Amino acid sequence: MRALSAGSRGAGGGSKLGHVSSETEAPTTEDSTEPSVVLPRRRRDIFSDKSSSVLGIVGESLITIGAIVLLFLVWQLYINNAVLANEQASITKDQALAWATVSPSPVASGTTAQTDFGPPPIVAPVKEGGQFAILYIPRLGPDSQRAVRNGVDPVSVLNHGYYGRYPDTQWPGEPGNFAVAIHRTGWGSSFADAPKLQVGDKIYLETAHGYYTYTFRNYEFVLPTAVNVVLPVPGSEAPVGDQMLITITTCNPLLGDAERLITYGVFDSWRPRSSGAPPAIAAIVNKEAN
Amino acid sequence: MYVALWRIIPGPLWLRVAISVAAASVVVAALMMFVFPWVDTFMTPKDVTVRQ
Repeated sequence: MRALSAGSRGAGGGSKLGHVSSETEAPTTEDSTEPSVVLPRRRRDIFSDKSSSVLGIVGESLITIGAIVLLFLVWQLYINNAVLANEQASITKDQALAWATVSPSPVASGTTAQTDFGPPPIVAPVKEGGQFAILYIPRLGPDSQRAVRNGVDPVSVLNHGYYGRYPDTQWPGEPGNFAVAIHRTGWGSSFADAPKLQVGDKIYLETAHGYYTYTFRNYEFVLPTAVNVVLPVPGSEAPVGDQMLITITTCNPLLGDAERLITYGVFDSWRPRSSGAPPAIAAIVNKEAN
Repeated sequence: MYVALWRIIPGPLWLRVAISVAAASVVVAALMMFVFPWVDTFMTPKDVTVRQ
């Protein structure tokens, strides 16, 4: 490199031959001292100590900001998610424990042979933000239960991992559509695996009175503006009849929100608390309430 | 900036490293426990509801 630049410099002043030779000699004698003396001096010429330290601070600040932004993403995707999932675990446990204290289930819960307990009671309306149920979807794993609150406010309800009930939809036990929303990923949600649900899978809703069992029916992928999915008869203005549905809306694709993934379940049966939890979730319920 | 901080930290090399790591941990913990939750309230959350 250095030899090349010395050569080109020589070619530039090519008319005076004698001068060229002296010039090409000069860099070679300089070469031995250059690494320790010349380069540092050149640097100091371009960036004075002051400006280089200012540039250094700016550069280091930018790197620091970049690192903090990355750290924020790690926090949002993993750490906050784990913290909120943990919070939900203790919220559902406390709730199950509170209900069990008021009306304890039999010890051998789930063993009652009876399956038909007549029409379900309608869940008493609670105020906006109030908690009234726990939703269990065994297919999504043993820790997938989350508490259900009234309202779909992102800050106070959804961003804490709750299912949020659409305020204008029906209550469980009421003919029509009980519609809730939940985050797909992050914020302690356990709904990322929603597409693993298979037709016939059960969705259990525990309330103060007992257990409502729904059967997963189908999915629907819709635009975010498709508000008709939360109508009493989804997608239709048809009269309600006596059909009872659960509708769960979440975002799609994973980590995006260009669409909504809608999960429908049909009411199957009801079981009072005194008859114990449905066998499929009895283990989880008993673990929580003890 | 960080060179200046490094100069300020007293002690032999191992102690400087230990202090730096401890200080960085405190900063990261403070960010995760207080700053990020606060920043998160200003972020537009991903929408999961259907609406007009």
